[in-house]
Amino acid sequence: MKILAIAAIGLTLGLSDLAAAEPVAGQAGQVFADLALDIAQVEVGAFIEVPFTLTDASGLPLTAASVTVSGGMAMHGHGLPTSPVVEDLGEGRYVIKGLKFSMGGDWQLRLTVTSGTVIDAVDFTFAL
Amino acid sequence: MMWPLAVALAVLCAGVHRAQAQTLDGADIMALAEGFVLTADSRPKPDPSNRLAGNPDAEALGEQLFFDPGLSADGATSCATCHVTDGAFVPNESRRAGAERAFRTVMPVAGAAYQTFFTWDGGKDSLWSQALVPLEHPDEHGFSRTEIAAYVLDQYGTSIAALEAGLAEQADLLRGLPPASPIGTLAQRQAWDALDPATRDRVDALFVLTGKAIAAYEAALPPPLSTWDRLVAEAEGDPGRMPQDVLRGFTVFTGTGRCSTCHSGPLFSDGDFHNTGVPAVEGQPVDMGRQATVGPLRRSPFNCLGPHSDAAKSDCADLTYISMAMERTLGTFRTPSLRGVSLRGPFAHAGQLPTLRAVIDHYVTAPLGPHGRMIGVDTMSELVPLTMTEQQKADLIAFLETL
Repeated sequence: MKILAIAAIGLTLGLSDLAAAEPVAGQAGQVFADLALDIAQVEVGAFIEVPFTLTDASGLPLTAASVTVSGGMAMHGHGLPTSPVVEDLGEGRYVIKGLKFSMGGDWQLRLTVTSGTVIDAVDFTFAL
Repeated sequence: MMWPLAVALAVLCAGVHRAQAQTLDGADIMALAEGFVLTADSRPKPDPSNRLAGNPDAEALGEQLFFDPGLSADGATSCATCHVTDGAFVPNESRRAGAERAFRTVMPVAGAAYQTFFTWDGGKDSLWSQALVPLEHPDEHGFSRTEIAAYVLDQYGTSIAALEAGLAEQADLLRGLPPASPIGTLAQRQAWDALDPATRDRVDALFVLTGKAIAAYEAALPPPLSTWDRLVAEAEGDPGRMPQDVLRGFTVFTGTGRCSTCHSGPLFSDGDFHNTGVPAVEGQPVDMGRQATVGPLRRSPFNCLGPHSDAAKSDCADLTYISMAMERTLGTFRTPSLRGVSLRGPFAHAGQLPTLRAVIDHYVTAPLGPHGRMIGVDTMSELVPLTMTEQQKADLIAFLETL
């Protein structure tokens, strides 16, 4: 039963509403990304814009970073249906444009971040 | 929270979701079925790139053009030749023109306006730009662009003048032009290059209007309501009032068979592109699918962002953010709607699968397909082998035959 309870918490905080989750650490621990993506509001097949913030390991905004978006569905062996782009809004704030999910199921999203000597990749996994 | 935990939970939760799909009770299965029903008032989204969409006069002109065999080099080929069978909007595969044409099966017209990209490989991003392709294709209508412009002015000048007054002026200038097209034979291309830019623009404007009028007509053709729509409506949420083999087949469709992963919603299509490992046609080169057309689409003057489009740039997100990635394009084809699927055939993009049973067996066995070895990997197919009993296959066919 404990596992189920934890699963329920995980669903609420981490999966159905990424906006409510704490910043996610990159694989190298150099970058933290806070993604404002409410999974419950995502409409399959519709374009969405997803704001996010980046901070470095000391918690300061990571500005003027180069960010690319990739992802897909591992179970289906395909990537994202579109080629999203990231716009820099300044002060460590960014927005993903041109993002679309073409079907329900398990999706992965990766932000690859480059800023000076900082190179990191932040992964998100969620179910639609 | 820790994300590795979240990842694990995502897998756990998704697994639960899939398991539930196999054990839905009656009320749940009927609620699920409602998501696959088309109603009489269903309408596709308007096409902002076509200012003639929804214009009754354009629809009337488009209907005449659609059924006009004079709009072809042999005077015997109309849109209806391949898109109408026995008076119904059912693809007609009886005419095998040339090898290139025969390489792809005909797609349904009714309901096509629900799509974002058109043809099997998504090489066009509007119904009107798609309608232009067969007119100039040597294995289909076989007309040149100047012949199309002159013909529509001769036959439909009054209607065209009512839609675009300027386009019907100085018709005599166009009637005297040689067969010319930027994508035709060498002689036609040379003749096109020899035309002055203003004349080419004029011809293009008439050519585009022809496509937009045909598209206006096609967009007003809804996919016919099916036996499935009627059965679900009449059941009023009671699974006991559904034919049980059909209901079991729908359960396979949305569960074990994983069909609804891509064949989703009332149109039974996610509108996306997938590599399903369909074998190449014997004696033909491997069809590259979307990879062969995504570049030309981005460069086409007839795309959503082009000079002939009536759309604002902000209306063209599907083109602006189109994916060029290998796994999204190599050997991928658009998920076809399954509405009316039992009325047509053979299946797959080049008719490689002769029957619905052959289609099901293909998905169950999940062959690797021809594209992976082209780039040094095992497969580019998204399919995974399935386990399905003979009863489940029969039920699935019973369900498909109601669509």
